[in-house]
Amino acid sequence: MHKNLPSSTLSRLMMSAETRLHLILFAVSVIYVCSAIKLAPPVVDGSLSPSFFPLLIGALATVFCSAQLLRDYKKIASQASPSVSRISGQLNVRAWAKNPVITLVLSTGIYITLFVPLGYLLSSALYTYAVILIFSDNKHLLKKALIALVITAIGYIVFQELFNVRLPTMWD
Amino acid sequence: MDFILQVLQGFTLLLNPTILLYVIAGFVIGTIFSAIPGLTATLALALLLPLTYSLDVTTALMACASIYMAGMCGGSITATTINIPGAPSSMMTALDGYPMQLQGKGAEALGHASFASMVGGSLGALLLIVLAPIIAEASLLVKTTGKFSLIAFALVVIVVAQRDNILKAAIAACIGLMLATIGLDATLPVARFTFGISDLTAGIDLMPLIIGTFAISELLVQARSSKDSQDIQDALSRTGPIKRRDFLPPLASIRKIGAWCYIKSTVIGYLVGTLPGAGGSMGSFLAYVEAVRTSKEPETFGKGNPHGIAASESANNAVCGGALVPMLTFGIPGDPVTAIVLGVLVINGIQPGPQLMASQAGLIAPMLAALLFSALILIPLTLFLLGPYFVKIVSIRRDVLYSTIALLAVVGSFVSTYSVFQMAMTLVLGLLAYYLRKFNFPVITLLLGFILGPNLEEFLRRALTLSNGNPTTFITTPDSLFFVVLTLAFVYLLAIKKPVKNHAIS
Repeated sequence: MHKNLPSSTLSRLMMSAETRLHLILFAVSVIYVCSAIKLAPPVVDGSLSPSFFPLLIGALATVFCSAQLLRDYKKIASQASPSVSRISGQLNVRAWAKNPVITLVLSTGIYITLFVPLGYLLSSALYTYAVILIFSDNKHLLKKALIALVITAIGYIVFQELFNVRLPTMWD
Repeated sequence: MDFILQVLQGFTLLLNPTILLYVIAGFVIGTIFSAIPGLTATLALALLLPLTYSLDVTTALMACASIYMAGMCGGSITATTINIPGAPSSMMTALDGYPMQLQGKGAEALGHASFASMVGGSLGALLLIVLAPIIAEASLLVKTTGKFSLIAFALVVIVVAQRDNILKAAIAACIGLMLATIGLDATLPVARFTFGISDLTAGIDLMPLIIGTFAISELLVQARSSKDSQDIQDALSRTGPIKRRDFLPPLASIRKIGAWCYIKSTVIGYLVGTLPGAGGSMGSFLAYVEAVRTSKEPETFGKGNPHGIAASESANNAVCGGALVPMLTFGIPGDPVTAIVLGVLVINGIQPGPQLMASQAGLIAPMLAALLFSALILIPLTLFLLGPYFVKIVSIRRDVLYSTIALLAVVGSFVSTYSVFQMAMTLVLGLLAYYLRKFNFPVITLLLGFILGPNLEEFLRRALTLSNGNPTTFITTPDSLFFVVLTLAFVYLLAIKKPVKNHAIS
């Protein structure tokens, strides 16, 4: 099932998660520079326009990201060429689904979305329970649900009662 | 002299039970967070920052000062007892603290750590109280062009201080600067980089950036790692009980170390603290290296020499005083904690900068009083009373700990603006910081780029407008030239010149 293929420097470069991040940062820098160019000419009537500083730091960011990508390329090129597993992509998809980081990001995203519609108490209790499960196993679920309720209640007391923060309720 | 009197008056505020309670609570929270590996005083401050909205600004600043001081000393407990520094600044303490623990002298090591923290913290705070007004007065001499060069100097030093990672530090700083340009332009009514999203017109708030960078990204890092917890449990099982008297060091041993070691390490820590981006780890490292270099028995370091603990802990607590100097006098934060303290000022509508000490001395003085009070009274008292329990705190359930932090972080980001959009920004920025941290980008440079960005742009534009667009103004104006030369000197020393290898450390 495992079919190993020799890989080129470029494909190995693209397989590195670190290089992919550097590429994304490079792309963001380029987009930023393009947006800055669209804003206005850097100098208008002899004085600096709102695009001058962004152009400067955007250009710097692009140069630094390019240097980082070049450094990645040299590093990968200097390493011996390892083989690439063809099924690694499938394995990564499975790993992705079980990745606690992704689960935590999704849970937080859902919590933020439901925070105002469901109100603090219900949404926070569900979120706290979800985070507890991410950081532990699936045993003693009832006990963990009680812990989630206690944490939510403490949060309520701290924010609403102690520091007079107006938290959303379901019937706002 | 007036300022010193105001600091003395600041001590009277500590007689107010409510303020004293906040200062003590801040110190205990800071110590707990720094004792738990993975958590830091910076995270404690980031989580508590939203709550400062409801507090009087003086009380908030005093609580911040006590958290800061606590964050530097709490890490020494786990560094000594289980060889896992609770905070990065206690790494050097572990080098001699843990061998002493293995030799059955853990109690003595803990005593030396708490005593040195008290001495370093107190002397550092006193130096700050005495020198800050003088530096603040000198800072008034820096005009527009010089201000640009000063901020640029701070950013460059922060970047080159990441010696093995300068390119990534520079990229992170640029990301921070780019994020700072989002929203309305400071001088003209032009919205920049909003991409049609109306919520971005006001720009990105400091609160989501701080909570995202330090709380959300830390949660994601912790979600990824489960091994550390097991390591801690294993180490704890090998640790014997710790008693209160363990935190009192033998007088003979203190005499052997000598006052000069404490004073020299304090001065090193203080000076390192004044440099942007250096922090407690670098302070304790340099003081430790100096202690090894000047010792008559350098071969005993790393094998349980209390001299090493004294040097490391004096220096890292003295960093607190030093790091507040650039923040209070120039509005330039030296590390994440002072960046958050600066955030407290900004949130309360106070503009940090050269005028701060002159116009708001009454506000700043109590904070420095709290810093000295924390070092002189709270360090020994808290460690003596609660020290034995801090080791137990390390074994707190991860699920309970991180779910509480997650709740405080996300709800905290809502509290600042009552905006779900800012909550979402917190998550986005936290995810960005997580990936940057994962691949060794120092996020401190991102945060400082974001904080310093608006002033950097403003002074650049004003300086070039004043000089009719002539860029040579930066080397023809004396105050600017001073900082340009200083920048070049630091670039040479930190990025170009090869570091001298110290064989005693390696």
